[in-house]
Formats: sequence, structure tokens, C-alpha cells
Amino acid sequence: MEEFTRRLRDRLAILFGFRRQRSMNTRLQQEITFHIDMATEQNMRRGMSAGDARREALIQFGGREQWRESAQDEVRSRPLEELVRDTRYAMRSLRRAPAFTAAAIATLALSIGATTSIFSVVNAVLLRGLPYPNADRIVALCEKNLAKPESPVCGVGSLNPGNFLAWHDRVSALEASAAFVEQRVALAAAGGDPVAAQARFTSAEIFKVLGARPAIGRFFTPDEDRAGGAQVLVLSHALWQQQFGGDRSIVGRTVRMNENEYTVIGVTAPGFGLYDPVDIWVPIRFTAAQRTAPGRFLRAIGLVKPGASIDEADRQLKRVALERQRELPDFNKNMTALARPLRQQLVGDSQRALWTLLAAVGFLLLIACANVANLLLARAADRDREVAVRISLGASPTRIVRQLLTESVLLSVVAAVIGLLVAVKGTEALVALVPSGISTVQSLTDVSVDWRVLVFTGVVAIGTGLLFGVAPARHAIGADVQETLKEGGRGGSGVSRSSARLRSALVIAEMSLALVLLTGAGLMARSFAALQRVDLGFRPQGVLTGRLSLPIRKYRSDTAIVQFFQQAESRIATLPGVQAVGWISYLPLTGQRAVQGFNVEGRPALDPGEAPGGDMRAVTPNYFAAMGIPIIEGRGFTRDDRMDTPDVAVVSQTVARAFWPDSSAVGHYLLYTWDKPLRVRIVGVAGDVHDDGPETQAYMEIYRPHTQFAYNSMALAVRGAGDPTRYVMPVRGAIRELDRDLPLGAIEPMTTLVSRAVGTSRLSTVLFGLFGVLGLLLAAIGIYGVMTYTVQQRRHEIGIRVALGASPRDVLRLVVWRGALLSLTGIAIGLVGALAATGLMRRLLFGVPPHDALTFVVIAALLAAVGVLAACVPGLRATRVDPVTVLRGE
Amino acid sequence: MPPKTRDELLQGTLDMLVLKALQLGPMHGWGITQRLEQGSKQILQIGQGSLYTALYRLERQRFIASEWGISDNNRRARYYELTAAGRAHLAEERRAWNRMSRAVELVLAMGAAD
Repeated sequence: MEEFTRRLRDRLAILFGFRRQRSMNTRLQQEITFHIDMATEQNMRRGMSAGDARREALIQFGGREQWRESAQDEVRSRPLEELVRDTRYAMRSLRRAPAFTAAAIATLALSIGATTSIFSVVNAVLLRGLPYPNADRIVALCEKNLAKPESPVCGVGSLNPGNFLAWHDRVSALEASAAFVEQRVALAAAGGDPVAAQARFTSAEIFKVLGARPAIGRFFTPDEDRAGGAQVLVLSHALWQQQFGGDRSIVGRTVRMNENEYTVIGVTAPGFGLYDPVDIWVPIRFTAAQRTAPGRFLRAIGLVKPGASIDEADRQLKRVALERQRELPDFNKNMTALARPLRQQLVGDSQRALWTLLAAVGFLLLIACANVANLLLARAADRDREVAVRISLGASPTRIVRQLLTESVLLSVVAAVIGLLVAVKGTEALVALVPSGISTVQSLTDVSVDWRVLVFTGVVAIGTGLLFGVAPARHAIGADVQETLKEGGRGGSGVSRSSARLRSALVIAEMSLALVLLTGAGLMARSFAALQRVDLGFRPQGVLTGRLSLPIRKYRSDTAIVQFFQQAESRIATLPGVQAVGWISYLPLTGQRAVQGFNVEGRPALDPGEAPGGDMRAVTPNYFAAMGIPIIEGRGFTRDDRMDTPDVAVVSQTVARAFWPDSSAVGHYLLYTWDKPLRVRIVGVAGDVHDDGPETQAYMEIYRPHTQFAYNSMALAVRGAGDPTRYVMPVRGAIRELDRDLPLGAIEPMTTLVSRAVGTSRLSTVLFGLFGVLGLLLAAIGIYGVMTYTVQQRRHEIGIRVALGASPRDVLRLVVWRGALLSLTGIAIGLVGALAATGLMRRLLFGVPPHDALTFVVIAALLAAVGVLAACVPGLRATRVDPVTVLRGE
Repeated sequence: MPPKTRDELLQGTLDMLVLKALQLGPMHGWGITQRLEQGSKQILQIGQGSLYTALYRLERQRFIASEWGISDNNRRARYYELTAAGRAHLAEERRAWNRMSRAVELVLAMGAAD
């Protein structure tokens, strides 16, 4: 045992020699003592006296201190020191080849930076846990209409309060659940001016579900979330900072929200949120009427009990949904329920885009590796003799391999450091890729310091270094020293040939990877162009939007509300430069809508669950003109459509086509219930509007005049000459003249909403394109490098050919044909890969098939052209080879 | 790094000789000097300093391994033993040496041929 531990210690000493000096000293001391004793004994046997024998032995041993040091150095110069030595050597040799070093580092830094940026976002969105204590147990609770499988699930405002309350009471697998809805409100501190704020009316249990802790004060309790409870609200940390300067005495103070007094009881922790950001959290307090009323306007989340599974909760929900069908057969017909993980709900469709981008950037990294391996191989060929000389001088192959590997790892570590800087900048640019739900709950500022990103960069860097270090290193050992030395650098040896083969293989790989990347980029670009070509159904240029909510206490009657918006419209319309002004309950591209089932008079009545859902929007007469939505048939609304005139509607083309494909919709009647049963005459047909962005189908829109369908919260659309933002101040002023307490909120040009709707798509297209171009560039450099090298190697042969009468054209053809052959092989392989890879992109594409022939042909032709061009430069150089010089100058 | 006071070639040669001495069986430092001196018929005088330096170096390179043992006269001594890698290295060194000495011999013989 003792022997074992000693041996173990010795082993460790060998590994970590730099701190074992003391024990080595002892060992050396003992060995010397033994040695001298033995020498003394021998001297005595030869007849010396004991004293002489010892003195003689000591003299024989010589300058003890000096060699002891050198012996200890042998022990001490351990991996660490060797690493330092190798690194120093590598740095020297890299500095001697600045062009090579710069090319290699730039190639790697760019690709590592790009990889890390994409990975940071993937990490933030897909890998990192959500910032809730029990994130894996939080689920989104949703209703789903089985008769409409294509309709989006879990959308904003898709849940009925009665159904939610039934789930809340009857699903035992849920520890807590909360329903909520957002609304814009006017908030004012005592005596202060009101500001527009986004309020979330929610069950008290939401804080339990999300495991939230207040920064100060407390959250509201279920008791306060009951009709008749105290009027309380919780401020978001951001609003508390902005509007109240982070004043801690805010707790207990009174604020005015929509003309009602509320007591502030707490402030959320910084960064706390769910889905889109909100400023205020208010108890939802379902009224008795709401508990039983039809209508779907909520969203809900729940916390699955520890020990219960999400599947279990999902099954129980579906069972309760069936019970609800029996209880309210009309309203709940075909309605089922589901629970799905919150992360899935948050990430949604961006998941696929992110993974695809990660794959694309991985391809780019591979190309970069191949390119640097190529550079290193070219260098290794030049260094054949250096290595051969060192081997013949006694350097062991392992040492040389280690040195070469150190060099390439050093290269990639430097590149990784630069790449990380690129990544920090790149990540900032990528923030737009993150779905808004996630960006609310996760701050992207700490993305780049996440350990996963660091580990990833590290692995990529070292892995890349080893990957492309292996080829030259293997080459170095494989080389026959004597052959190399004898060859005297003329080239054309077996070693150079095998290296040339390897390099050709690398170039082919680069070409094929670049083709896959570029095809993906091409498809994305075509898809994006198709998105841009989609007619959204309105003209966003020159339109300013905003939102205004009238406090119910002050504007009690529909008449007051209608009158206010009419007056505001008139005042804004007279501002200089303004061409048209309109109000609508929900703007396009905001994801907000109020859907209600409807029937057509004279056709069989359908149950609410089966009746088509009409997207009910209240508009003022000039909305269509302001937004640039054409009236295709009949008329739009006028000031003559009043509260006391017959109920009228303008429907979208989708509605008209669905019910009257061969005749006119105008003059027919729609039947639906909104507060009371309604019979509404269609007076016009408006153009379709892509409300959820260009990728989705147009909804069935049913526009009603605001006079007959009064909303107290409306969105503004102002069309004017020039930059829409110049109307912000005048419009605000016009509204303030009517009521100085009303803040216009959410002010944005309509074009901003549009670009937000296609933002993710644009960014992925730009990134894909960037990766594709980089890949192409790298592949071109690869071909150029290989052909230059080939020409260099075959100078002798070319010289002989020229001497024998080959024309410059023959020489050019010789070189370019070889380059073209490499490109074509790469392209052929790449096409197969691209066919497989782009199939996976199907769901990312819009308006273009994944195997779009045009894209494939154009990209292949482009790559072939670039390949030939890259080979032309060395080819032309080859034509200038002077046979006399070459043949003489051996 | 310590200043290299000895010739590269000599150092390499000593390493080879030490390995050769250990090919006969495990031995301690003193025994190795004895083997080398006897084997060279006392022509080679081994500097103990360079011997131990060589031993430590070879051990670091994993060509030899060492452990404490008991000497013939019942004293505690560090015994060195050839490893498989060391055996292979020795064979390789030997081939290189043969080539080299033949080459040197040929060169030296040039004058005689004139």
C-alpha cells in the first residue's frame, strides 16, 4: 500500500513536477548518497583509506550543485513549461508568416464569431431555462376549436372566463392557474398628468404560478381579486422607475387609473414579466355576469402540481372541456382544451428558424475549418524540409506533432478571442430574432456571458484547432525524412502528391458546403422577396398610428364616446398636410382582434361553435381612406350611418367570396350577437387585409361603423404628406384641446408595424445571405490557393510543355480545367446535399418550394463561375512561366 | 531552461547508452555507471552529473521507470527499468547510430581513397 501511494505520488510528480521539487530533492539526495557510498566502497576495495576513498568519490562526482540543478530541471520542466515553450515557438513561426496568419485568423474569427452569436441566441431562446422558479411546470392553458384545426391556438383573447373558472376549480393536477387580459389605460399619480400605460387584469394566482417575489410591498391576494374587494394594483419595476423615480414610499399611495382611485400595494422585481411587457398588474375580478357570459377574451397559464405531469394536466383539462360542452352545448360545441409547456408557447415558430440558422452557421464554420486546414497544409508543404531537418537532428515525431498542434490551437484560440468580440457585437444585432415573448422575460444583455456560450466557443476553437491541425501533423510524421531532404524542394514527390490530394478533397468539400449554404440563402431570399410582394391590403407608407382610451367614468355613454372620436377626427383632419384620418378598434398587424361567430340570413343557422368567426372591427368613416384599404364594391361608411339608422357593415373580400362567390354580397344580412342579437345589412365590400402578416391568410373581416359599435379604446390612423412622425406633436395637441387628461399612446408609423411583422424573416434572410457570401468567398480562396500551389509545384512541367510548343492558351486551359474539375465535383456533391438539406427548410419558406429549380441552377452556375475565375488568376500566372528560367534554375 | 553545457550529440549518445545498459535488466544509478564503464572496457568515464540528468530526462520521456528497491548490499536504492517505449526507442536510436557512424566512417575514409 505504501509502495502504491509512493508510486502514485511519483506519477503525480511527473505530471505536476513543478510543485514536487522538495520530494525530488530528497530522492536525488538519497540516490547521490548511495552512489557516493558505493564509489567509496569500491575505492576502499582498491586499497584506499576510508578518508581518501570518500574524498576521491566526491571529487569524481564533480560539481554537485551544478548538475543537480540540471537534473532537477529535467524533472521540473513539465507540461506547463513545455507548453510555454511550444507556444513561444508557435508564436515566432506564425509571426514569420504574417499573410498566412492573418488569413487564417480572420477566417476563423469571423466564423467563430458568427457561430457564437447564433448560438447565444439559440441558447437564450431554446436552451436556457425560463427565469421562473418552476419554469418546467408552467403551462399555457388554451381552448381549441376541433372544427377549425387550422386556426391558431393559444392566441391573445381566445379563452372564455366561465371555461377558465371551470378548469381552475376542477383540474386537480394544477396547483394554481390564472387568467388575464391586457388593456391600455390612463394612469396618473395624485395631481399628476395621466400617462398611457398597459395594464394586465389578472387573477391573483398569476404570481404563484410564476413564483414571483415583489421588489417592494406585496402582490394582491385572492380576496382582493373578488368583486367588491379593495381597489389595488401592482406597478412594474420599469414603470416605477420611469414614472415614480423609484420612490419607495409609493407603496400605500393612491393613483388614478381611468378615473378610478387605486392603492399601489407593491412593485414587481426588475425584469419580471410574461409575454408582452405590461406596466400595471390589476386584479381581474370577474363579475357574476362575466362568469357566465359567452365570449373569449382571456389567456391563461397554470402551474402543474409537483409529481403530476403536463400530460396529466392536459388529460384532465380535456375531460373538463367535455363537461363544459355538456353544460353549454351551444357555446362550447367542438371546443376542447389543452395545456402546453410555456416555453413551447413562447418560442413558437422561431425555433425552426433558429436551428436552421445554427446549422447554416455550422456549415460556415466547417468551410472555414477546411480553408484553414488548406492554408496549414500549404504551409506544411513548405515546411517539409524544416521538419525533416529537425527529425534528423533527433526531435521525436511526437514533439513535432505537438508543436504543429500547438501552432494551430494557438491560431484558433487567438481567432476565438477575436471571434468572441465579433460575437458580442453580432449578438446585439440578433436580438430582433428573439420572439417578443421571450425577450420580455429574458434580458439579452447577459447572453454573451452565459457559461454555455463560453464553453461552446471554447469547444469550437480548440476543436477547430485540432481538426485542422491533424492533417498537417499527420503529414509531417508521414514524410520520409531522407526523401524530403533529397528532393531539395523541387516538389512533385509522393508526399506532396498526397498532400495535394488532401487539399483537393478539402476544396471539393468547401465547394459543396458553400453550395448548400448558398442554396439555403437563395431560397430564403426568394421567400423573403415573395413576402415583400404580398399585398398586405393597405398602404402603410405615410401613415401614423396611435392608441387612445377614454376613461369610462368620464365618458359614460356611447354617445359621448362616439362624439369624442368624431370631434378628434375632425380636428386632426384640419391639421396642415393631413390627408385622411380614421379610427379603428384594432389596427392590422397588432395581433389583436375580437372574434364572434355569425350567420348569414337565409342560410341554415349554425351553432356558435361551428359558425364562421368574424373579426369584428369598429371603424370611423374615413378609416378606409386613411389606411388605404380599397372599397371594392358598394360603399364605405359615412356620417349618415348613425346610431339611430339601420345597422350596416362592410365585409372583406374573403367573406364575400366565401358566401357569395358568384354574386354580390351587398344587400345581404348578417346575423350575430354582440350584447344583443343583431341583423346587419352589408353595404360594401372592402379589400382583404393580412392582419397577422404576409405569411398568413386574410381573416373574415366585418367592419361596423363606430357609431353603431362603440369602443372606448380606439387606434388612430393618420395619413399625411411626408414623414408621418412630423404629425406626432400636432395630433397630440389636437387631442389635448379636447381633453387635457387623455394621453395618446403607442405612437408609431404604420411602416414600423409592417417591418416588425417581417423582421424575423428579414433578419434570417440577411444572415443566411451573409453566411452564403462568406462561404462562397472562402471556397473561392480555397480554390485559388490550391491552384496557385499546383502551378507552383508544376512549374517545371509547365516549362517543359511551353518549351515543347504549348501555347499560353493550352497552359491556361490546363490549369483552369483542373480548377473547374474541382469546382464541378464540389458542386455535384453539394447539389445532393442541398436537396436533402433544403427539404428541412420547407416550413421556413414562403411562396417558394424547397427544391426550387431556379435557385438551384443559378447558385450552381454562380459557384461554377466563381470556381473558374478563382482558377484563372493562377492560370494566367502559369502562362507567364518562362521555360528557360525554369529549366535552368534548378 | 538551463544553459546547455553539453553537446547535443553526446547527450543523445549517453541516453542511448543508458537505455542499452538497462536492457540487461533493472539497475540503480551506480550500477549503470559500472555497467557502462565495464562494457566500454573503462574507455568511457561517465560523469555522474550527466548520468542522473539523463536518468531523470529518460524517465520524464517515459523511456524508463523507477522505483525504490534493495541493493545487493542491503541498502535502499532507486532502481531504473526499461519501458516498452524505451525498448522501441533504443532500437530506433541504434539504427540511427549505425547509419550515422557508417556515414561518418565513409566520409573519413574519403581521404584514404585519394
